[in-house]
Amino acid sequence: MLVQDGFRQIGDVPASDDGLREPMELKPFEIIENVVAGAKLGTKVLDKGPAAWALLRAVQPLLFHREHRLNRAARFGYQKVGSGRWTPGELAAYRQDCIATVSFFQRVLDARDGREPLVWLGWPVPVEVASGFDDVAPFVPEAFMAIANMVGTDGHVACLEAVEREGIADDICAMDRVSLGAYLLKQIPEPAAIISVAHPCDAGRTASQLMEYLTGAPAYTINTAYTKEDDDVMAYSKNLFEAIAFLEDTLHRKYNWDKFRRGVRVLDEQNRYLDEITIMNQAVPSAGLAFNLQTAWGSKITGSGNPALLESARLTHKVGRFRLRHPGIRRRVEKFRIIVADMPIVFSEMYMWIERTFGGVVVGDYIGDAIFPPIDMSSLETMMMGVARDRLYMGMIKQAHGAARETVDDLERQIAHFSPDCVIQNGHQGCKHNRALGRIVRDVCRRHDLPLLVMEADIFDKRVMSETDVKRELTAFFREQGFAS
Amino acid sequence: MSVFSELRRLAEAPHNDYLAAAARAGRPVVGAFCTYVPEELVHAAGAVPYRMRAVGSSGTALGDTYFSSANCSFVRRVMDQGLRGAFDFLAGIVFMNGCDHNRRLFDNWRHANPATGFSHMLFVPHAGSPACLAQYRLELDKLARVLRERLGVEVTDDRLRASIALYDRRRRLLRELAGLRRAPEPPVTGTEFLALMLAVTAVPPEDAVELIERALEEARAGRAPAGTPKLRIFVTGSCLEELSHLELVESHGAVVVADAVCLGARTFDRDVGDAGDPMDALARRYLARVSCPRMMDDVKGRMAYTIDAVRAYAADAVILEKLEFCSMMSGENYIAGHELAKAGIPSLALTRELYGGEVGQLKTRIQAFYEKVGNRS
Amino acid sequence: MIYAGVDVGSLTAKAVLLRDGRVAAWHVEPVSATPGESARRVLEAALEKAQARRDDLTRVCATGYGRHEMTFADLERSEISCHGLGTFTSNPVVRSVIDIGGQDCKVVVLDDAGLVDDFAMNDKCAAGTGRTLELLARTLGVSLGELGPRALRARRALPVSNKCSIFMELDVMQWMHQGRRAEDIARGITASVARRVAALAGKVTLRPGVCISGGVSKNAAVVRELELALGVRFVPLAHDPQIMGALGAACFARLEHERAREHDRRVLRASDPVSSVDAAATPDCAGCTGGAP
Repeated sequence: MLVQDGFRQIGDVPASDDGLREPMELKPFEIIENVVAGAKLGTKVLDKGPAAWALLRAVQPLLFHREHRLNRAARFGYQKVGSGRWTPGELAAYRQDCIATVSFFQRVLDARDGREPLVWLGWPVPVEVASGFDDVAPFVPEAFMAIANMVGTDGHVACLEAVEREGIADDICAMDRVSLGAYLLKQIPEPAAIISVAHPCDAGRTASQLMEYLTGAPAYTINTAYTKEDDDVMAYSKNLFEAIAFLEDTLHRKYNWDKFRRGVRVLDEQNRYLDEITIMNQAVPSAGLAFNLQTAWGSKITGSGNPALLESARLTHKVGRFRLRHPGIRRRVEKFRIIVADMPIVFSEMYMWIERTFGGVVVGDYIGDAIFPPIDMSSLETMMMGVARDRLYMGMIKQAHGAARETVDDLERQIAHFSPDCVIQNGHQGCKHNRALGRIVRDVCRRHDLPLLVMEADIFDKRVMSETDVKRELTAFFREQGFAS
Repeated sequence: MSVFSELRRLAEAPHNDYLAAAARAGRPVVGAFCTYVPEELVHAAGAVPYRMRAVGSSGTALGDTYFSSANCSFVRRVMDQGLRGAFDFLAGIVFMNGCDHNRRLFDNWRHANPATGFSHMLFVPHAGSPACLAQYRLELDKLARVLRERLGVEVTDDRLRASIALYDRRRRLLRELAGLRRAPEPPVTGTEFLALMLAVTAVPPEDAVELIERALEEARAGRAPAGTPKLRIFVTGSCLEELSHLELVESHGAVVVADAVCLGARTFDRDVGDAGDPMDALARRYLARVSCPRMMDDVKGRMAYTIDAVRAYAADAVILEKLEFCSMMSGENYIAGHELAKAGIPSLALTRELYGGEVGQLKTRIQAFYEKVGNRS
Repeated sequence: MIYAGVDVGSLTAKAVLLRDGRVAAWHVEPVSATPGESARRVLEAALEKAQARRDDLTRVCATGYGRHEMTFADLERSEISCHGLGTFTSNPVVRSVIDIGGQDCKVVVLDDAGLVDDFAMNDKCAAGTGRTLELLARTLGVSLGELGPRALRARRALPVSNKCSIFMELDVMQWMHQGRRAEDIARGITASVARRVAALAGKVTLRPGVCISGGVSKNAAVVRELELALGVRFVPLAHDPQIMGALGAACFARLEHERAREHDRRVLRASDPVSSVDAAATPDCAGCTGGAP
């Protein structure tokens, strides 16, 4: 709280009489409402096939190069649909993500209006824990960071500054602070219950605890598995059953296990497509679908089990198959290959920009890497184990949980399979465990004779490193390494 | 010579004569990084448990080759010390997933591979539910197996019971000494108590018991090193091992009378006891004693502990200590600040780097806080 | 009776002399080799202005980063308390103080007696301090004194990070490379520093009657941006805002003296029912209630 009640009336508030950049003021739920409107528009526009493709190409000069006053509301949505570089096939696939986005966020708005209770799920908690109820709206506060740019990149800053004003220290990861800020700025509805997580990182568990404290909502804590070994995953899945029981007790509703089974089948089928798309990126030239996989990652956190996402994966897979059959198309684009750890969300266009500017193609990245073990459908217990394991294999969770081996093995595998020419790490400031891995990752890259760029950026806070700074640093690196002149 | 002078000497060096004597007697020394690593288990395996520390650290230059500037100064300094050979007397180290920094300390330590024997990670759950207790119990079994493989000593129930009895005794003596600090003229300052805690976690427990008994004897004899304090302070936090920092806190006539820190109440709160299966009892005690902010489901318990202790020790104010980049203490201190304010207890949140200097700023904050508390009384 | 307050900060040393409850003289000068030496020099200069001698001083209170080095002082108080009481003495309606000095920034909330009720202080990051303004002015190629007037002539504020002074400098350099107007960059700098300070102010609950003190309060552009960011208009101070710490220290010197006299009086009363101490001879500082609510 900045001032005590009634204080603002005492001081004269000088008018902002010019173009002074003040902290962005957000109307309650403005961001989610924009997302729903944007996704609905996407559902309509992307239905137009080549016409949509031509339209998005035509507006590229207005939206591609930098954010400014006139394009800031539209630019993020434009980036989400491939910044004018996606083909009609990719656009058709993303239309399905728009459908899933509308269904998820519309329910959040409905819950705000009192139509059903809303449950907050810590980011690594499988959304199935709440989406298996017929009349409970699931919400993942951390998912908010992925959409806060919907009002321009100042959306993140507005949330972060709200947290700073509240007196919460800024050494907590910006992703979690954005979700806390979103709550403080009334961008997300009050929860009826919270399912918190203890792992994979301190910031997540601290944010969970702060959310519990600020909202006063009843909470259950999931002790996320530390390793991917069966014992650990079993214990984790037992936690998920307990969480569902907790929600049944707290919300006085029955969980719909048939819905759960249907969702898990969809998830497993979607995973098969995602696995193959990931592998398609290993080809030389690659299928060029890293950004699509990253988008699928975001959609899956909130919409796992949604048939629209299965359709999206199927259509993307079709694009990949076509490209592998016609390698000449991508060969013209692909001059060198890159592995990226955590793209800065404040610059969602990074992959497209690198490709367009330097001919560098991101073939693998930490977030989008989507290799999931198959789910055993023989019983509810095995299915829950499958869901638990699925989350442990999701990008970011995969690298953040447990020992460094989880990250290093992954990087080694990607280097072995994706034939990269260089590795780029975002150097996400708030990510304490990742920031402690600099030497180990450097040694891996050195062993493989791969140039490594570690940016001192932050995935969600553009005040640490803006789009311009990222571009400058990437340009210098590519030039230094001889990838660009 | 007062035992407190000897304790201070022991507290100011990473190694000491007691450890050298233990080594001569063929007892290995095993480091442990956290109060969730049961020292009894290490002791029952025939080793001397040693709490890891950055005492004597000269900087972070070598540590910084592994950690970034966004990592906490404790792990950077300990890593630095490890790479300089300060812990080469160890036969092994039990790490623990206390926080992201500590968990990566394990990874970096293994990568650097200094001559400190084996490295084992004890995975401690983040809650105290029955499922978590069962999981922790399994982790203790794993640790016992690792100790047997590495040290060649089987942790039998009898050995474990004997170690538990010894450590329960150490805890009781520490609680007794801590309890004397309730007096209007505390016989031990906060700095002296921290020195004692550093000392008794760096020597064999048999020697530790003797040292604490001598300290108790002196304390009971009526010493009052700081007289009647102008302010009585309660300290919370996690890693706090710098005597110089507590001296700063105890400037301007204040005395620390109680705490909830690792090298304090978390070490000596609650006994294990001798009932039932000793390993079960061990697991229960470690998940039930006053918790660390890493434990998710006990915020209310920690707040209640602090408020009760503030009243029991007649503390005037609370200092909430945090090492920079500790996300968990950031959240905890936000909640504690609000809860203490509701209870009418003034608090000050201090962020510092371990042995990090910035004394001028810290002095100003502390002095201003004491002046503020003084204004209210 | 003359009370002296001496405030040795990171950049300047200040001394204030109080005589009969009023500021008799004050002096400011850049710090010299040691804090103790700076304190002695600035006090001598103030004494000269007041045509007084060291022996005339009843009590001396030290404050500021150099307070522990002033061996001649009778007492010391934190600069937070001193800035609080100083501004309160300068304008009795003050209940909240934003003090932006060379290397730190403080927000102090006062009770109705001018004593500290709550405070917040920047951590080691210099982003919301005078040092940052100095650094960025240099980067921009203007003097510190010129930065504020330039910012006031701006057409708009170019976005400058408020995260840390290094990031701020990078942003400033980026705008300069793009050939943007120095005025607009200056405005971006002052707005950024103001937002940083406003975030610090968010850690406490401000009470109405907010004033600004410290060297940066002379930068009209920062003051204006801060008013915008906090949604307040600062109340004026009767004295130079730079000397608030020293003024507060002088008030504490007086308070301490009165307390000591009161204590002596009580002791005398206890031992002798007929006291010979003149109870009416206490001077009165404008606005200061002597610590009583």
